[in-house]
Amino acid sequence: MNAPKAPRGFAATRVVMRTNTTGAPRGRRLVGLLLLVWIPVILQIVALSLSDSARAHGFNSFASGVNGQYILFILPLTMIFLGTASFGDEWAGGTAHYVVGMPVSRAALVLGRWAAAVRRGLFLVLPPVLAKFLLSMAGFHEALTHYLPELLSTVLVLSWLTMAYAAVFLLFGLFLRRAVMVSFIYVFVLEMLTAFLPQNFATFSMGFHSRNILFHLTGNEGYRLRTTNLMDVEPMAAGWSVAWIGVMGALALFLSTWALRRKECGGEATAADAASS
Amino acid sequence: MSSGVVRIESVSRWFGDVIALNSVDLEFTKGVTGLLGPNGAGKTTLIRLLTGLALPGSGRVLLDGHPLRNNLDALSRIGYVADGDALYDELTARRFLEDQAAMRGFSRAAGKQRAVEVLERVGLSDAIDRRSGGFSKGMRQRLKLAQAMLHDPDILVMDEPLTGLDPVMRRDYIRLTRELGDEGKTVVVSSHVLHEIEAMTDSIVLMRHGQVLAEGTVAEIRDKLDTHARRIRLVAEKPRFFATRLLQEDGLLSGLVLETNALVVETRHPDRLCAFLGQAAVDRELDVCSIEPLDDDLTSVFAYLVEKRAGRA
Repeated sequence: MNAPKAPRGFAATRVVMRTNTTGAPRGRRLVGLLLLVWIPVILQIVALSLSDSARAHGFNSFASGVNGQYILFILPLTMIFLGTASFGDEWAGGTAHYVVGMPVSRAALVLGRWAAAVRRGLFLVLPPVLAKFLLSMAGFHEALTHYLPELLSTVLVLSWLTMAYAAVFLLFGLFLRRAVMVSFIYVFVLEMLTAFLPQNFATFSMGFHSRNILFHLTGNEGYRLRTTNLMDVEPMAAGWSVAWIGVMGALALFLSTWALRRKECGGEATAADAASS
Repeated sequence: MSSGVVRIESVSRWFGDVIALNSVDLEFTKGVTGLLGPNGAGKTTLIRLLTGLALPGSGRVLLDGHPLRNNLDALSRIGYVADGDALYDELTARRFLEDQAAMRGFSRAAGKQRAVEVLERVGLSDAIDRRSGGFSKGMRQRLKLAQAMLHDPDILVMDEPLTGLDPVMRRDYIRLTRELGDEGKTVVVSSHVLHEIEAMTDSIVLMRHGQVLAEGTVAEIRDKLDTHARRIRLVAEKPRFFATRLLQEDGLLSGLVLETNALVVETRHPDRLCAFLGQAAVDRELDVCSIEPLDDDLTSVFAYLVEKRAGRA
């Protein structure tokens, strides 16, 4: 039998993405993630069914929900589980050699795994966001089509943010042993605390930049940047924010490829093995 | 032209203060080579270097003269059966192999066909659509072998492949390994169980504490142990008379044990003993029914080598 030539370039990335089952949400993890992403929608449905006064106030309400729920913690938390698992689960489960032993470039492995995590993240997060949009616009049917460009902007920015988070947490999964715990700390400190600090500290957070882009694109008050004192923060150029998020993601992917080229498979086991002698 | 020769040149590897491999020089060529040593001898570290999964601290690992680590062409020629039984438990055997085939460049149709072929060869046809999470230890080992054979590699590296197999599966696995060696593949098998390696191959590398104690065939290694007395069992009609006659030969024996119909002798001069026995047979002076070397098996050789090293230290 003549073995075929291993895939290269984009074909390799595509095949890695297609065959990647590691980190795919299933079982309890899937239930947990579904609950996490749909909770705002469920709560909104419950509120609407209990009281008419709970009816949302159109797109502004939707924007506030996306800002305070999905950008603040739901999207980063979801991507923690999907991103860190992309490679972390391989090392934890002892299956890493099935991946790194393949004749596929490390860049293709990283990009393929990252693309798979992004795809899963979008499949999980975007449906409840769309559902929330429909619920928020429930009393404003005539304005529904008017706000479609704003909805599209929201979806695009959330997708951009998903890509960046997937890259950052994939890197954590490759580099760190307790990647999930470290990622939680990262999200809590950088996205949930720093993002609301005054004096430009917030610009270190990707959440800040996504809000900044959305505020520029939609002009909606729901996306206005605020500090912990509820003081307004001066928005910066949207291009900078787009670039910041992009650079963070690209840097994480580059570092992941670099790390994967150097990372060993089963080094810990062999060390323990050697030590036992 | 690719010859499937893996060369390890002065490779050392440390894990913190512990040395896992100490200046190892080896060459693996076509056929089955057994890597033998107790736990912690450095076998797994060596195997991970052979498969490009680990980096040498110093020295080089070459496949047909090219560095192996991060070399995609080299990786496409290597099949690896890892120790442990980690698999993607949620996947069926078929899906697992199809995914692996896709990563190795097979088209979907070719991958499907090849997956069926190798599963058939390792005797897993009946379980092709079962999830590997429900597989027994033996079935998992077979699936790992199928995965390693999927792309028909020139070099097959197996780390403790017989662990946990029942006797029937063990026999089949050994047969399959021999077949792969006979097909002209470079097969490296590690084990700490001597008779397993002995059943698979005659060509061995003995390791201990990260060093190569000896390499070659069992007989060759035994021949190197010229300072150590060899034990030979001689079955004869008159063992007592035989023993007397042997003891008359000056310095031939260094030990002798009489049994009911046999005697076990120890000698540092096997050539002289052979000549003596040959002459005795010609002269019809002594009736020897059988001659059985007792320490050409790996257990004895390994024990001798370890003793020898310990003595030097």
